[in-house]
Amino acid sequence: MGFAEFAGNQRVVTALQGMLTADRVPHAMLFSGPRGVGKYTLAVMFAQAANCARRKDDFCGECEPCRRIGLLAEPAPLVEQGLAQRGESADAAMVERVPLILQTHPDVWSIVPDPMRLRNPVARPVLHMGQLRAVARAANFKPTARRRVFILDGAETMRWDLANIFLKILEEPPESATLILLAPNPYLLLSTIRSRCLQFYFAPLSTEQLEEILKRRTQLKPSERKLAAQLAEGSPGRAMNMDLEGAAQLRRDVLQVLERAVEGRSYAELFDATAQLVKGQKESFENVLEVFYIVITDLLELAYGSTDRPLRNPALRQELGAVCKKIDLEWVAQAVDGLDELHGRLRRNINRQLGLDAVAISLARR
Amino acid sequence: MEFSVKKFDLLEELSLTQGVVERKTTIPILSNLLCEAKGNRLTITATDLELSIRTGCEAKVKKEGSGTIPAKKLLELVRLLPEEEIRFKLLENHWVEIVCDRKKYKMVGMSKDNFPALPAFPHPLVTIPAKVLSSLIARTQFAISMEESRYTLNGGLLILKPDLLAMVATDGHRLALVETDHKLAGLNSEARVLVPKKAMVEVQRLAANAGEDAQIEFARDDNHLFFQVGPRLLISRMLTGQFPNYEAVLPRENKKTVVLERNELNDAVRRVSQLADQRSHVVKFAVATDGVEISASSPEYGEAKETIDKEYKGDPLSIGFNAQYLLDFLSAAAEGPISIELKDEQSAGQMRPLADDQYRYRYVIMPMRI
Repeated sequence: MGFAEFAGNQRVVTALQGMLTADRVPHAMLFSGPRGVGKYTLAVMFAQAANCARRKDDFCGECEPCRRIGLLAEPAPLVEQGLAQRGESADAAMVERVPLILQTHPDVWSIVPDPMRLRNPVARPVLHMGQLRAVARAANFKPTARRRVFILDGAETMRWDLANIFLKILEEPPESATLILLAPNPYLLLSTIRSRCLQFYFAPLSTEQLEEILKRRTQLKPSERKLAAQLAEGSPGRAMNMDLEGAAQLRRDVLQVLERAVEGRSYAELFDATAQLVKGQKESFENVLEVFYIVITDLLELAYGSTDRPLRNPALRQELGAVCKKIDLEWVAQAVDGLDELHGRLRRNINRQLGLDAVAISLARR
Repeated sequence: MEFSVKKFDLLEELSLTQGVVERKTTIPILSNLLCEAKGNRLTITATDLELSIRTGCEAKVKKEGSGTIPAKKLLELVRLLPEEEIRFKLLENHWVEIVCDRKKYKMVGMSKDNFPALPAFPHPLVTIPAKVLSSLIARTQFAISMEESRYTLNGGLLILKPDLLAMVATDGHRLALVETDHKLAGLNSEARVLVPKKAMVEVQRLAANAGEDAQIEFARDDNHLFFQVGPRLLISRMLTGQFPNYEAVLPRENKKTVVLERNELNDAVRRVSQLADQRSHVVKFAVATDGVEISASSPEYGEAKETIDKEYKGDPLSIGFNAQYLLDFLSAAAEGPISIELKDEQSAGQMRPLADDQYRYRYVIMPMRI
């Protein structure tokens, strides 16, 4: 075990190890990068290395602290236990009073967006004030071992007024604690928070690297590996847990919406296609929007001739080819603007179907 | 694990763990107690990650071992059981069977491996009489800050010197300092430790339970404080950060002194504060040659004015204080005369009980604008 297990983004790993060797660990770090690229995994590894009983700049994975902190790497069962303990019918006040905290070692906490209910989780889990307060309070106590580490997954879901709770502790940090904030994009956080954290960007991995990881860690067949690596957008986490059939279908559905919009089909047909993307969709709406961007990138590249670069959706080459003949730069710009706006408004819980319908109509070629 | 204990013994220990164990948490193991049976003793451990308690009682151990039991349910059940022997037995899958006479219960425990490990008790630093430490805490605890953001004020500072024990607490608006002369054997230099509020409450509870002559063995390592009260051990994580330099704010030139009886003052402030402004709780003290006038007014309810006749020879002065802060102090102070020492309207006032011969107690309180 050790940092050697971590795939990709060696630059970040080296920097973290350097800090541990020099014993100069920052009080706050912000890991940003696409979903599934390994931010959470590396944060847990860092917590292990900071508290490992045997090694200083790496971790053994076998000593008591390593083993216990390592349990955080699988947060799902811990979330389930925590929610069960709090009770299924917790109201808003209860959620604040009994914050969802995952800990398997007294010094290391993982805070994830609280889905509130086990059987019937809320659509957009967010970090709650109770959780942030608990962290701000606990950070002031000394560790039982070497370093307190608080991992805040989904830091972008903090409400902005609540994020300010952290300013105090980011400003006058206790020496013995490190906060690690995880977010897909640093600019989703307040600039006041961002500027107080040491930032690390996690770059997507190449398709070859992904195939290599899949070969080592999964039982997939070579053809499936290739497809999964192509669809994962550089995220090992996503590649390993991918529902290949579903992911391929989602891309076809997205392309269908764009196709019908470009061809100027009737509203009935258009809304039929958008409805498929919103209702009964397993993927979160944010991910659906992400697929839109990916497909549009392919269209742009096909239409404006960078033929030497591999497509993101090679399986759809033919369909993409047909659509790309009917678009121009202006259309692409309009599509991206529309999607950006939709993405921004998701924070305010807009009606997704209506939002997507509006974007689709605006893309109709008349 | 299989053992039997007397209900009375067990209930007493269980009640002591209740202040520590988390009532409601999303970390399941923290609402459980760790029970270890060994030799002829049952050891019970509870923790909330900040504060841990290890206590125990005599038991007839049939089979050594350990297991965890939900703390709250166990207490409620044991409380309802008759005064008899209770038998415990660990079953498969962390279930625990509890039998008392012909009543039989089974509770779902958790794997004891999940229970956080506690640090070992290091070499004791000093031994303090429980009564003394408890008195120090009682005289300072109320002044601890409730504001979570000022975390170095979320505890009391315990000062140990070879011949002196002291404790200070402040919230930035008031400060309570109490000192007592006490020879601390084995201590060569000064030691200062910041004791978290929750730990102070629990130490006091343990001290009260341990009786008149009990001694507390105090120890610390890099990150923890240890209080051994008889067979019971309380472990608290330390707070980080520096307690502010309180010596600098102790007033030195408060020469306008008036002495009032505690009970008289306490009653007067309580009555007057009924009509004090609901937000600021300010009461006004006007000190003049013919006595002290205590008054308050609120736009909604009206006004109050009381005069206590007292000889006073300085320049007249009027100053406002938060009534609640005064009452906190007056109820902690010993009976008898209280000396109120003032400088001017803008400077902190100081109060001292004069009849307390064992403890030197000072309370500094910031004035309010009136």
